[in-house]
Amino acid sequence: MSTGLTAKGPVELLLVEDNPGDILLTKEAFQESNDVPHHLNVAMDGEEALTMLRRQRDFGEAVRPDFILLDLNLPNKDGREVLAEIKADPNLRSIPVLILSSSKMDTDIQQCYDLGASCFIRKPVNFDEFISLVQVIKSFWLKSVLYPRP
Amino acid sequence: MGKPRSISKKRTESLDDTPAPAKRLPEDWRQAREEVAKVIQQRHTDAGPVQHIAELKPGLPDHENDARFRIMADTAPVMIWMAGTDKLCYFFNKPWLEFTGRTMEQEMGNGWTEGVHRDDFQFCLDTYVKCFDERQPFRMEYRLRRFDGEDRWILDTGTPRYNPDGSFAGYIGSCIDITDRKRAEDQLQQAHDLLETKVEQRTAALSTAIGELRQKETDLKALNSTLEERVAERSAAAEQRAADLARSNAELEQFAYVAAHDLQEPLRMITSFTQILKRRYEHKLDEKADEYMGFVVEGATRLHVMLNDLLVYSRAGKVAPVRETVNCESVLKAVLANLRAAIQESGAAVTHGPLPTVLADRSQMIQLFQNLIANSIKFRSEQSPNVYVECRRHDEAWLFSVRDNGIGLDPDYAEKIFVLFKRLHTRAKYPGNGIGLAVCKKIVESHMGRIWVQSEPGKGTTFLFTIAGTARSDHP
Repeated sequence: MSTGLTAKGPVELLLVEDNPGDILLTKEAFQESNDVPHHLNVAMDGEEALTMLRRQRDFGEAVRPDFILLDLNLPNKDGREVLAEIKADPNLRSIPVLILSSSKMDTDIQQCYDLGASCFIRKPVNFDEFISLVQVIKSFWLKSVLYPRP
Repeated sequence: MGKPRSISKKRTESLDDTPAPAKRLPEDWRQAREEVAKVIQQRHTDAGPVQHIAELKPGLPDHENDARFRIMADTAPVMIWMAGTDKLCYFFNKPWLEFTGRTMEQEMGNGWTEGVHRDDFQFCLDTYVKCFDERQPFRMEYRLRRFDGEDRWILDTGTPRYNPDGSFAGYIGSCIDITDRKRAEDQLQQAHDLLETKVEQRTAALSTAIGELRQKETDLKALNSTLEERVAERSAAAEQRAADLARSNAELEQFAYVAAHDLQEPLRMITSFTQILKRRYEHKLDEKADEYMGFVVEGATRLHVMLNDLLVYSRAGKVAPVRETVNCESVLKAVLANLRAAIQESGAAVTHGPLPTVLADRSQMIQLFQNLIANSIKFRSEQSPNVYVECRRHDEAWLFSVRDNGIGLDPDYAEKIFVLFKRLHTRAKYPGNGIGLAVCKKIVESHMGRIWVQSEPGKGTTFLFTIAGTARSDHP
């Protein structure tokens, strides 16, 4: 049976983002309204993200995220590589990945979709707009969209 | 043989002359001789005019005195002489004597040498003596004086003679006048020498000409290499310029990247957190705080927009824009679609005359028209905006005009309005950062055109710009 993510409890979100400012903004935006209980876990670079996802090393107890927010501009392993590896892994590839681009130079949207991203969003400069966007994400991806029961 | 007896030097004409006193001969011998003489006389009379007959020389073989020989010798067309074993000449034929105009007596012995040219005498004598002693035949050329005093060139061929018993008998020779031949030879030589001189002259002239030609060739080569150097310099300069241009373009791209990418993030931080600040603390602090936060947010937002505009500006009018055939009427359609909201909101009416097809960058043309028409709509007067776009040929180019009935502008600022970020009004009255016209100017100039404005305050504005004429463009 399929279910909305919220049905089983707080949504486990993984945010892959290296900019502390953006991390805070995202947290703020998600907490703006309390309609969707969630845990926002953060990996600050691509390597860490994959280690967490594979529950390797220190992350043996890590929770498998229901949803991944992936920034493309990461310090070592590039966001596209992380996306590729997630979608190549049979254990991980069913997790929806939402690409958050902060740069107008990320023009190769096609590549992201080819690699299996669920959608591609540019972070708006205007925070109010960002809040609205996050509302939409919560309402659509987290509340409306159905996922297989794990 | 001894020395010949001297003979009288006078020519003897008749047989009646007394011969040299002879020894007393026997009577029958004398008689026989007289008879022979008579017979000879008769024969001569029968034969014709008396030919000169040489004196009989006693002591010599009879055949030498042969009449036939004499006739042959005297009628031959050559001069003939005969010399004895003592080298002295004792006979000259008629042609010889007629040639020299002398008598046999005068010529006899060595008398004939008196006629030899002074300069040839020694050579003549030496040759004769040497060959004679060696019993060798000879040929010699010398000048002999003719009866009229003229020195003529003679070819003298001498041959040794032998008696029937084989003993040496002396020489016999024949001579011919080779003056003409000599003259011809001289002339030939002269002609030859003249020819040689001429050839030398021509060769010299040719050498000079060749020398000059070589010099010219050298000069040409020098000129050529100079030219090649210049061409190389120019090419190098052009390449340098191209390299500089490429580098400058790359720098521009780099700058654009920085503007689009690297500056966005800190800007976003400023804007976003100030907005959060405002959200959380608006009305929670005092009014001043609210005001300050307002300015910060607004400034940050504007900065963001300006960065975007800068990006647009830097991309507008790339050095090598795409050149395609662009129908300006379809461009205008696209622009009106883009500006639909503004047009509807302002109640604007945008009309146009026939517009041509040009060779240009389509997206830049859209940008160009869009900026101008958006300005016309923005800077409108109380009336609803009317914008008219038209085009006509001017020199070799297309001259476009965008005319509106808006607020107009002071012609003193006609240049200033095209400067990046320069505005004529406060932001409160009319929004915008002031890059629209700067972008228009860049686009027009990259299409080899010019843009300018005609306006008076309160009397509307007309923007005019040229797009370079195209090889194939049709005026609909």
